[in-house]
Amino acid sequence: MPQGGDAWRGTTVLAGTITAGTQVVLLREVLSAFLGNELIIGVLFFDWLALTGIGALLARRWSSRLPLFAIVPCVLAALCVFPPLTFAGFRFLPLLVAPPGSMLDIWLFLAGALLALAPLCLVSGAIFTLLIRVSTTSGTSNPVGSVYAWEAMGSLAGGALFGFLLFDIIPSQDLLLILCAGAGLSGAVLFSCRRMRSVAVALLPVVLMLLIGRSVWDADMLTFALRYPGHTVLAHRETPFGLLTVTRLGEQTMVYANNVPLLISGNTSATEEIVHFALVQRPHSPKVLIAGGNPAELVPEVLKYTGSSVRCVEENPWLRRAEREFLPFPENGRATYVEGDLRSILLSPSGHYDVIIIVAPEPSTLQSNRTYTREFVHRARLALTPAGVLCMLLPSSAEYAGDDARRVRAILRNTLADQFEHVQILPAGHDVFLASDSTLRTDIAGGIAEAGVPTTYVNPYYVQDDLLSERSRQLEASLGKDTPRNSDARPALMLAQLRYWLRHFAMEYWIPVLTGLIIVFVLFVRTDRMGIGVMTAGCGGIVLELMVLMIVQVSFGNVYKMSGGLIALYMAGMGAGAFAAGRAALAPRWYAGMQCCLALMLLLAAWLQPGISSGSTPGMAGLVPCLFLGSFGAGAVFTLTSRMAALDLVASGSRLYGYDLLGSAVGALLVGPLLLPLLGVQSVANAAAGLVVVGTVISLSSPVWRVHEKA
Amino acid sequence: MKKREFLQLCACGAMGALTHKPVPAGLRAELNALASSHPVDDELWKWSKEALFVEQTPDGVHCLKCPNSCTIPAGGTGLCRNRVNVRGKLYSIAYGNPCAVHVDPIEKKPLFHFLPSTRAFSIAAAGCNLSCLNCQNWQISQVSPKETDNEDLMPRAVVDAARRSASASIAYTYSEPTTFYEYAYDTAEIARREGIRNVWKSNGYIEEAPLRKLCRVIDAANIDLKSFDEGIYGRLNAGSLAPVLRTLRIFHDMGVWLEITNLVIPGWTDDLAMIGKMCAWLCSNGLDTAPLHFSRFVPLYKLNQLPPTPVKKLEEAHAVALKEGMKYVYIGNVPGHSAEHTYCHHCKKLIVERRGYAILQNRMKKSCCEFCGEPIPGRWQM
Repeated sequence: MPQGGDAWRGTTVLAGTITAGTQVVLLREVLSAFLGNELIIGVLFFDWLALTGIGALLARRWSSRLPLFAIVPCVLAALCVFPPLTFAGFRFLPLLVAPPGSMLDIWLFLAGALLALAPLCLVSGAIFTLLIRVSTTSGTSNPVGSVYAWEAMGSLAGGALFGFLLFDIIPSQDLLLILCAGAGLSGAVLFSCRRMRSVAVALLPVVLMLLIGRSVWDADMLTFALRYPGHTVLAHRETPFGLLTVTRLGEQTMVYANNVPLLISGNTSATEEIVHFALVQRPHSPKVLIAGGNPAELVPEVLKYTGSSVRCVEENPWLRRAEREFLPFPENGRATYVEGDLRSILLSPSGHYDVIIIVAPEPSTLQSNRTYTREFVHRARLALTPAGVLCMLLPSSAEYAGDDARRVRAILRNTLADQFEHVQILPAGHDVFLASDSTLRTDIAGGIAEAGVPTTYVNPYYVQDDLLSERSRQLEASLGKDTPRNSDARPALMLAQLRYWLRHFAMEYWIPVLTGLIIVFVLFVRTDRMGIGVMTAGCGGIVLELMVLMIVQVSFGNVYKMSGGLIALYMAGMGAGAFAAGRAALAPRWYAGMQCCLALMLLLAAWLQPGISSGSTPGMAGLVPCLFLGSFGAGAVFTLTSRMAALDLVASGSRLYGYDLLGSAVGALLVGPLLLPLLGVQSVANAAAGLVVVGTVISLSSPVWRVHEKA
Repeated sequence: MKKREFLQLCACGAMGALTHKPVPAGLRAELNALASSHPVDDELWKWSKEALFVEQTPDGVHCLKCPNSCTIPAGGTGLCRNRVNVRGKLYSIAYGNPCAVHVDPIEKKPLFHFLPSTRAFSIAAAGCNLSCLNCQNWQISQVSPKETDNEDLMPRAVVDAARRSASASIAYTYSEPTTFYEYAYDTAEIARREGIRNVWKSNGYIEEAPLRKLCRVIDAANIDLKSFDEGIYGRLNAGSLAPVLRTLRIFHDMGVWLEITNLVIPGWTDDLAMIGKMCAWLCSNGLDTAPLHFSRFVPLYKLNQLPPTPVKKLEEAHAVALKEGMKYVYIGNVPGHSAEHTYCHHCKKLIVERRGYAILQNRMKKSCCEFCGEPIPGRWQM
């Protein structure tokens, strides 16, 4: 345990580790309780970064009131208490306000997330300011830069521990509670050493509760029981793909992924629609590939076609294990089951399948959107026989598709139409999109009768071909041709789907956009020139991080562990940059060089994207130094700027930290959910690099540089 | 400058400045789409028709159409989103503006004892007086007609289109027809004169006076009895139970053919004791012969984290209803289930064998059971 004069370093690392760990745990909560999509995650990061920045700025005024000897134990006590409280807020607030089984209203999420995060993030920002104060008395040559660098190292440790090192060994929330208990225990010891025994005694029950609470009280089971009364939980696991829960209700077995029902047994009408709408197009001995869905019910439907064979792909190995255990699928020589990334599987062999059916979640996240992009459709086309059929699904537009629902459908239709000669949308229980270079039929019930396949639902008794064709014609006629195409680099479908999702809550997309723009404006008006440089570097840094994550995720699928590694790499670069800049000469050329390094890495990442998207290994290898060097530049800019600071290091350090985080907050809010899908990777990289250069020019024009040169 | 223009200008300017590229037309359209907003003007719109059942109050126009009982100030809109107060008069802006126009099998409503195997010309205008968490048609029910793409279809044209589509009836459905009452009423009047039947598919959330007037032109109704608990009605639907029960009694008393749908939602409306009470109430109010459809829930709209209703639960509800004395009980949204068929309540024999929207065999003679001669309630023929 850190002691004496070095205690602040250990405490800073621990603070970085715990806050990074809390972010991971809360992200999981957001995914499971709030249907986490890019917008929600962007808002969460915005809240987090902005509140932390504000906490640092506010702490300038009162940090001197706390006795120096009490700062480290107080920080440790705060690290013990606030993260678990925030976790509890995220876990239980939704249960209080959202009716069972319903989506949490976005307005409640926005207010609730702010409310739940405020105590932790404000304190977390204040901790940075307090630790600068301690470090200034320890004889460190560059106290602000050092705290920044050590905190980055702590975040690196947190990202690595929570993201991949201990992921398979201990659940992330347990790990968080242990670390918090460790911080509390350290704080209690220090309080005790510094003759504040009553505080130490008060901390001990909290520590005890954190350590034994999880073993007597399973929060996951309790919340699931409250959310889904009457279900019998058969299995519950935390996986790299999120929370997986298997339940039984009546005769039905359900698999929930992040609390959303993913697979449900006994869903006859949906199963038959998915299979037969596509297979009646090519009913003679079809070779079929099915990605996702419930093989236990899909495979028997395919095997009804004489001479058919089917290959089922599942990207999530944990889901496949759950299927094998609770929804056993038929073992048959004509059916094979494969685990792996669908895009890679589609690469070979080409011209193999007569029908490819994609059963994927709605394209509201980058992860799910990757099976709807132009690049994916192109690969699918190559994997099909010349007359093969690609089948994709969206939830039903029911009796009427509003503007946003139509836009989603138009983008997908147009993306498919760029690759295939024929595209047909059949609005039924799902909106079924069929694409082929050969003609497609809409008389599904007629086709089933011709094929002589026995069905319960897809037959002339339930599916009336003339009405289906008429609805198809109506929907097709309502879709515009002038839409962007959905691509890996510009996920336009995700943006449209997010906008459609917001309509559930009568919310407009411009509200978060306007919020971001107002903050940008206020910050630019109120910040000095050096602050602008830090802010634009913070913004550029987060844009680089988000861009790299997006490129990797879109190209390689669900890369939970790889993402953890990339975040750790980013933090390592930040820390290394901050350390290195503490020893470098304090000259404008170094400062400009570091800013330019960040800007160049932004451009390089965008330049590498197309190659990575098409599976280029050198491109991927190039992304690693790109991320490291970019974050190195961002970290170095902060430290160099902090070294220019005036005499009051605490005030100037906290101010710069606040600007850095607020710049990052705006970047997180605007880039992930809006600018990347709207403008695409290339334009966002250009804009972010331009912003960094503008920030550099403004900061280099500051009189501080001249004052420093004279000194 | 409107916010749409402002956002567009900001984004285009920023992009142009930073990338030195012209703004593509597609992006401009994208920005327009992002910045789109709800129309808020309070001017009359298209064929807006003065609303029925209103009274003037010092605070605005009091709408007497449904139990929400909105008092709408000048420039304001009712909770249903399609009744607006323009300069002291209340207008329906749904008139002649259906956003959904389809032809459906009558069994889809569901109506099993009303002109079986015929088709219903189905129309809806945007708006609803409830806000159900599980609304299937939320894209039209939770918005104003100004926000939907509508067809220009006055009552006369609706009847003509129904005739062209060989539909036996016109169904006012999908959203909530109470909110486009004037349009539905005028259409129904013309249709009835011309021998086309009228079908009311509704949540039953309507006041007595408009309902009694409506009964003059409506031939059949399917009412969603969403639960039998005031608390659940409040939380799940933002409405209340009592007015719906009154509606059921009035339809029955006025001789409109009535069928009832009860959506069984896991964790919300699947309590068998509550279902038993509901059926007991129906029987004690002379509605034991009204067909009761237990419908399977599927995850929709905001209630998308629940699973579909287990079929076993529907079968239990079915058994409870029969035990309480309901005579014709069906299970919906479960393809191929035996509870799609009609059984004579007297001799228990299968008299109408259904599969989906088709009748495979009909063992009735002159609306009576072929086996025991018991009259089977319904409107079986035109």
